[in-house]
Amino acid sequence: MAKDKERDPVWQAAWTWVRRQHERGGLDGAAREEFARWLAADPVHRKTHDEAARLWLLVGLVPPANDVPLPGDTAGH
Amino acid sequence: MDMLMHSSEPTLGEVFIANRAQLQRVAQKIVRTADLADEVLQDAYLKLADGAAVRDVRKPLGYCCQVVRNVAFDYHRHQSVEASYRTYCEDVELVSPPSNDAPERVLDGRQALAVIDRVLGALPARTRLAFELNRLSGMTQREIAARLGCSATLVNFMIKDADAALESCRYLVQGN
Repeated sequence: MAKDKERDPVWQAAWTWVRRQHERGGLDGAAREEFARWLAADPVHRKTHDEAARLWLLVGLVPPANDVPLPGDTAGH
Repeated sequence: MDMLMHSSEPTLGEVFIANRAQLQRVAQKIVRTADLADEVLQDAYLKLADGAAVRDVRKPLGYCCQVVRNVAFDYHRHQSVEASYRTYCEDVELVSPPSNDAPERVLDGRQALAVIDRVLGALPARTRLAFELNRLSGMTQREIAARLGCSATLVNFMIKDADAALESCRYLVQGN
């Protein structure tokens, strides 16, 4: 279970946006509008989004602990 | 591709260079232009050593693809965010300046990956597996559920747990 501590709703929103941007197909038109509005609503949103995106990238650079499929590797199995 | 597994194992950098054409295609599929794909490859190449410092990479080409894909997605996302931000808000300078009271944020990439690895390593093994299948393999929660033989709801909880744990890594990216 996650550590029992205060969670920041702005961070969670930012993380969720970053997650959605990376899902297959990314954001559709309506979602892109909504995202742009969220970004512009408060400078903290923009700053937090940049941080979440940076962490998202770092997390994606950690070599997997498990033998999971890594897309693009046509030499595997 | 045989060359990857000879007795004296090639370094990640050697694998990267030997498979440059394939990696270029992986990048270009995401960023579209050859110029950007080149930039992605350069950036990705420099990041390989950070990952290799975390643990022995079992599938060197797979890891090279992982880094290239992630750097490419980051470029792609950055561009589209910039575009939508410019449309809606001119005041880019409103971002607050970096604070000086967080010495941890001078951590370099290698240390940051080690911290994240430790946080993920503290999760239950199946939670980390579900998270990796989502984040690194790009599988949907439904696909992960089928693979792990559990419900999609449970997968959703596991991924939420991982996300919550990662929130504690926020200091790694704050303020610069």
